[in-house]
Amino acid sequence: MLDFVLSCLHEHGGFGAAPGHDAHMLYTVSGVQILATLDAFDELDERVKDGRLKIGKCACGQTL
Amino acid sequence: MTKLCSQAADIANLQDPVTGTFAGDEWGERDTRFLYGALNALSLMGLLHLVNVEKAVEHVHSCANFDGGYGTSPGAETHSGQVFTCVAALTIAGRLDLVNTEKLGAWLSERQLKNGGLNGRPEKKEDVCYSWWVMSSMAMLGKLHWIDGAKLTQFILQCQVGEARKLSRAMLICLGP
Repeated sequence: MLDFVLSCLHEHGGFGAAPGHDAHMLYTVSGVQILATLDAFDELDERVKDGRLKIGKCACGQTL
Repeated sequence: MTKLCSQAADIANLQDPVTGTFAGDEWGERDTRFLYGALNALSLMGLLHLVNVEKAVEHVHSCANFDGGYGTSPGAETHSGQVFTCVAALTIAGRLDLVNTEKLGAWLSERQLKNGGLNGRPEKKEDVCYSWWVMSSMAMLGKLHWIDGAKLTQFILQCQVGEARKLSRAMLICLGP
């Protein structure tokens, strides 16, 4: 499940609905909620350098 | 992807520095759904400090209406979905003190119709999705008992159809906030 969720993550930190889809706030929230449910923020940071911060910056618009 | 990245430089911030609200994407549609989404995601990741929470709270408060509810933007009609996003945003920000809980609780309780289902606005039909938006709001306000839970449960179960036990059209057509 984590593989799929991360395959929807864009370089700038936003999530799309599926791989290749444009990023949007609503899917970014869903992505974060799934990561939280899986307690996977540490693994996120292992797989994607500064992943948590990157997603956070995207959610408030610093990278999108 | 490339398109997003190349245009990213032109988008300074999803949070409007003047109004405090948020956009959903690079195209800039703004309303209280995205404000809630940003606060939700950032709080889950422990990164709320990245945004101006006080400004966001100000914006939500400016969306409050005479009936105690909230709309998509200042002056917009109260809607159960936007009530959820605004009350949830204020809950995350620790500012539920700004909510007129008696008035809003009363408005939300009036969403329950005779058949037990909940609607999104006065004079509208019931829809299963509002069970979530309304009841979540009631839970945050501490007023779950203002809805008849047994009748709502009965309504939701009545929406189950077919062998696959899927919830009916009422659920599928409502995309929610």
